[in-house]
Amino acid sequence: MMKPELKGKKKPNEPVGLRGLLSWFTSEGFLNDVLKKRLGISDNLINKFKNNLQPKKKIHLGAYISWILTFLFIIECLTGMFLMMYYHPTIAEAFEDVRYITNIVPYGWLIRGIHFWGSHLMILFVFFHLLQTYLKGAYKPPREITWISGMVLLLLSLGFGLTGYLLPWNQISFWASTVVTEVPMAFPYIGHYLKLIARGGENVSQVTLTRFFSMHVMALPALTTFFIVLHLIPIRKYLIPRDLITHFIAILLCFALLISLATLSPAPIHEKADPYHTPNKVKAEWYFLAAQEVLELAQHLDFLGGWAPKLMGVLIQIFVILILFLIPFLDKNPARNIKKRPFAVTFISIGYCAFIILTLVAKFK
Amino acid sequence: MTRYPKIRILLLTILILSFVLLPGKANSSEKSKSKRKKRSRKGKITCIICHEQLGKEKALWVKQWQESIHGKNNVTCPACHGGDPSSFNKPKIKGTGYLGKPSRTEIPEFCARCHSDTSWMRQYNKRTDQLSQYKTSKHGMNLYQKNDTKVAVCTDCHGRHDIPEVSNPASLANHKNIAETCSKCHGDADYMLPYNILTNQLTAYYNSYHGMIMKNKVDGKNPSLVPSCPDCHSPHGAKPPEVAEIANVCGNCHMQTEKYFHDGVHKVALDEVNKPRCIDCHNYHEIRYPTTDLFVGESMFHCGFCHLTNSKEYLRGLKIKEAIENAEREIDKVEKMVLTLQETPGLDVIDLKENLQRARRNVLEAVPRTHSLVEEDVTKYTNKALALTNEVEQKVEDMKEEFVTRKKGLFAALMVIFFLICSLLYKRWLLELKEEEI
Amino acid sequence: MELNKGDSSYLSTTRRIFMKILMGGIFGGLIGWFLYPIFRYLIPPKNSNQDSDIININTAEVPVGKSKIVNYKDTPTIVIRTDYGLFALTAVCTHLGCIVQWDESNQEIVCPCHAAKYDLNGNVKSGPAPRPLTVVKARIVDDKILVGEA
Repeated sequence: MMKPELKGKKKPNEPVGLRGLLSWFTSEGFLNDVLKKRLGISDNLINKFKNNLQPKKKIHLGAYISWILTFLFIIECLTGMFLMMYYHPTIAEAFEDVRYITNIVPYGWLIRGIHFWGSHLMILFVFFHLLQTYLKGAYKPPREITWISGMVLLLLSLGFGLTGYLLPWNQISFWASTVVTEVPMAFPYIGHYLKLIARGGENVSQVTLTRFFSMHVMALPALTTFFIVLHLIPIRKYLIPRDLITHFIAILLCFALLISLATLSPAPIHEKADPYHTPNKVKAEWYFLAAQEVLELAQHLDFLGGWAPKLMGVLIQIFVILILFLIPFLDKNPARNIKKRPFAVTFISIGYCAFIILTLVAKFK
Repeated sequence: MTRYPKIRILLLTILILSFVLLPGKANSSEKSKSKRKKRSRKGKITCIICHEQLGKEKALWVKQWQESIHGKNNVTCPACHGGDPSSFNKPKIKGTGYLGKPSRTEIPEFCARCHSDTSWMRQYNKRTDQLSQYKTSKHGMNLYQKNDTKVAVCTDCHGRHDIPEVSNPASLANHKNIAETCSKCHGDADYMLPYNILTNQLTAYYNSYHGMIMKNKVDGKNPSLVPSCPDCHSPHGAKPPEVAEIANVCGNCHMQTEKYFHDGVHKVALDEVNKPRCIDCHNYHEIRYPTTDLFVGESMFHCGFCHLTNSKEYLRGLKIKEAIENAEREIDKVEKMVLTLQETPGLDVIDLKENLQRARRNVLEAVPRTHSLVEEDVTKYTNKALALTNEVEQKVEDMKEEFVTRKKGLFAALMVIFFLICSLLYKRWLLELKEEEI
Repeated sequence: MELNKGDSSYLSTTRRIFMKILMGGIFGGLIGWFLYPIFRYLIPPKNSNQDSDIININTAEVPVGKSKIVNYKDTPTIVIRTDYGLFALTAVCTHLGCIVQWDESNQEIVCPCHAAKYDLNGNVKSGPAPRPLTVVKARIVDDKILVGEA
């Protein structure tokens, strides 16, 4: 019963055997045979994909950023995996391994340079993405989960920056990490325990390096993947963007920028970390400069006395992040047009201006 | 009802504890205070009791003594001054061996009663040859043969009642202070007039490399390792080093240099005509850091002062000079290259710097070998340095070349991406056309 | 009109095929280009320092009749002292790469995995080994055993 049916359905000229396998590599064979028959992808989806190839006259600039961010995350994962092949997270080897990768392993400088600059670009684009989403009002119901998971992703990418910074185990990274892990001391009573958790001891040491490493390569990538999925579930219908070709061009441009930066301004090596010698200028990465400056400015609140000024510095930042998290619930204005949301726009402009000014002040102080 | 007994027991315990603990504490602290007082009074001897009450200078002696090495080791007044401290009546009368204040001539023997007593000094592990050495010194000879009391005696450098350990920075005889202490007399032109010797030693010394290190003006050099006056002139047997001694005196620290000097022709000359000594090329007191300039010129301390400028020996010196200078020049040149390279981020010059350091060490090793005055001895090391430097230079060039290659690769990759983008744009344009047709 | 139309469609199809080949070529080239650095990255560079190294061991470590495995040029090498003299051979069995052992009682080198047996010159006496072991130069200078060339 079944056999004749199958035979009857089969087209007389359809290739079989190895020729059938070869036919998968023609465009028609790939479409009909692989996608439709083998993978069972519906015509609907394929047509949609084809339609999305169609160029659009106008594309919102922000639409590219989300795809560039995805691309950067994949690039970071890949280069990170390659770096890990030659890297040992021990205080004796870490620095030498980074030197080995950069100087001796063929194209190690390129892989490391892309990983280094990729992280910077990623955080930069995350900030852009936040601003663009906010201005578009894309956080408004029913997109609350996308917004909140997006905020988590922002914090996670900062976490990547923080933990990855220590791994080369050079003077700058060692002391920047020392300063950052000192921040929880602002909390009275529990501060010391928080510091111990961050450092795994009283000082930044081998334990700290191992913790930061495991965070950087295990916990954070897993969490980030989870939250990216969560981020995209509510908007899965629009996942394949319109005008795919232009998006692809944008990604290529981003990649060109990445390899140019990696070649023309290679990732620095500095000197090996020396726990008994603090260099004169200990500055965090640019994305933490604003936070550092807030903490320093909080020192001027010394009329509060005791541990209050330090705590204020930390609490202000936590407060700002909390506000950002709760934006979809605080902003009850249903309008999405920028012109109809004067208060919301003022709020974010002040926020971003403050961030940029604080960063610049800390940078050129 | 069931809870009350518990509370009562608790209150009772607190009450008992407070009775037992609190008075006990008060008792113990009072006791220890009085004990301490008693012990310290017990330790006092009658000299101190009176002298403390006499006030002013005489009380100061006691205080000084208490802080001195003698006071700390419980060497009390009668140990030096004699007398009977056990009675208040007549501690200073005859028969108690009271000595009082020694005159300047008596002082060396006065101190030596203990300090030359080998069996006594053994417990402190101190040397006992100070007096015998002193007697051989110019100071001692003048004191004992010419009865000249202007010369230095023990107390001038070590103090009277306030004698700190020599290792104590407060001591006038401490390594850091001794040059100044000697200069109190030796730098005073009027005071030294009858002796007809130089009085500019201190200035000369402080101008010297030794003195600069002593004054902490040379980075990375340890002042406690450089010689001061007594290291060359002997502390107690002080007199100018004789001709034959000089190489030995310098060689005490510059052992390698001495060895190379002994290998060379200058040693032969020294044995035959007493020249050239270390100080003939390097000066004394004002010993500057020697540079290759010593090999040229006819002024004092330069080769041309003894050798004719067209002589074989002088030319050999020039060759040695050239070898060292050439190596240094090359290292400096390459170091500059490395430093400019360092400014590019991401370039790793750690190995290059290490190799340059090794090259510098080789030059440093070549320099003392100039004392043997054999060209090959020196060039052996300068050539090693040159080889290392050339290696670094080659690596610098390689790095630069590598950067150019990287840029070329980048350019090619960018071209490919550009081409890809162009074709994608073309594809997009085609699709746009199609849409318009539809 | 019709002829023209046919012509243009013919042109456009050839152009399309040409474009496809071109794009495919470029994509292939690009992927190759990007994969080449990764391919090179994965092949670790040789450690140039160890190549010329001569291993030296104290004679006390290898008494006569005993053997010792040392790492020479990143290869395990067995050093054997016998009554007939000093022998050094690569310790990697030519069969399946196990590390061979010195059997003092039978005066032969035995592989523990599949019982391949070699004599002191590395020649296969019995067992599955296809090739002899490579001989490494070794000599005794004073109280040191030097393994390696020169």
